[in-house]
Amino acid sequence: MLKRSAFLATTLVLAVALSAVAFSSPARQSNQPIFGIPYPPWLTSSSSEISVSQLSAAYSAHNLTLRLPSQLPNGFSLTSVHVPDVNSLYGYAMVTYSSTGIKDFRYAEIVFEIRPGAQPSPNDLSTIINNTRGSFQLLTINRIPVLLNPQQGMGDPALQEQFGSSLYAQFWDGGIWYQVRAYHPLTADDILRLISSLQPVGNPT
Amino acid sequence: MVRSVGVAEVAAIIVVALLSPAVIPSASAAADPYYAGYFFCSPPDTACSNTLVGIRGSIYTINPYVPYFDDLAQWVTVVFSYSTSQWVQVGYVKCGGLNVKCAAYTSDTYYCEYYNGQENVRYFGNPSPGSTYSYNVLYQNNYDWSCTPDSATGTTWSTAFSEAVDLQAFSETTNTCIVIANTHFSGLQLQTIYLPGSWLYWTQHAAHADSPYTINQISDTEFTAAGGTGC
Repeated sequence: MLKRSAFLATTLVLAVALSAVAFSSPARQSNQPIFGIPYPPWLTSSSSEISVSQLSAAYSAHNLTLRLPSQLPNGFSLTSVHVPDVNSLYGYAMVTYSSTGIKDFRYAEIVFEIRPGAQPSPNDLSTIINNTRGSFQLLTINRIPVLLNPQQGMGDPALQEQFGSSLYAQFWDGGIWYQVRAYHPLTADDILRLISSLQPVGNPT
Repeated sequence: MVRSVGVAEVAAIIVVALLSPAVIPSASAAADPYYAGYFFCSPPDTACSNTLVGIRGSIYTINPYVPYFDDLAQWVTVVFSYSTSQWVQVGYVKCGGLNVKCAAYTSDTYYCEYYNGQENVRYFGNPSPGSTYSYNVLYQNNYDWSCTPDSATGTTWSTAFSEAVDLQAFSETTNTCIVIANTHFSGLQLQTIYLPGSWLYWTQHAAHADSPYTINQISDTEFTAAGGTGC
């Protein structure tokens, strides 16, 4: 009976240990962060939502012309603009586009992160490409240099699991820094078409 | 005697084991971090449009029990992108045993992580529990950011960014049973490109705490946090 008990105990311990590891670790893929960051509530709060005209007006007041895509993939529309403070619109903003009306930046198929930011020099762009060890391709769209990563890993494990890697681009235009994230099956060409269709937006009032 | 163990018994043991994460909190909760701390960009926003190039803060070192597979981290971070989650973060971590993320660091250990779609993390020395240390992340030049835990050498990350979109100071756990009593962040400061070399105290913040953790907002630059169910 001793051997039988020992067998049972050993089997149980091994099975528990293996299953615990199996349930706790595989969800984290090798390209995911060890630690994390939370999302600020304003990013998804309806009380932080403004119109694109309001955002454009805030940038105009600082002599900057906000430009956003004038041509979207079929079925897509601009769904939301969120800012940290609706009483102070100049600064960081999250703009979402979706084919299904999604306003939440985590799930919207296309997102523009916008912020005032100076244009990097050609040397700066070379530095970025060197720093990122080939992740970015440098393209020029309508004289705008665009850094494009067609396989951007997602730092949020849940989003990585749901969407896989994303398409990610950075560009600077008229003193504004744009970051674009799009989910597959949108393609790099879709992102480039968005950028090539940039037009001043809204009617600043 | 071994042959006397029936197939049904072994199968039953395996079934119980496969269900065991439901009764092993550390295993089941590990995928869902819990946070308590401050965001910088928040209403009333008077400073978020500044070009943010650094964060500094002091963190009291706690030393709670951390179960197997879990971890506690307390850190300050410069955020480059929320849509793709890219950042540079510095702080200290305490890992539970068998935690595949950081199993070698089961006592409080300084770390710095740069996440840009790929994981980049380095570990340094050990802060003393009960002591307070200053941590900072600061833009240097050529898209390099220094990452400095107090009294350790730190590191520099070469990135695609010359400014941040937000700053954060948080306590993070992977299991609500980890007790974060005595958590204390103070002296939260930032640098902007307009006043290089000058650390400026935060003048705004938004607090956030996931249950069961709580946060006591002392000022824009200081908070304490507590809570945790006990393991």
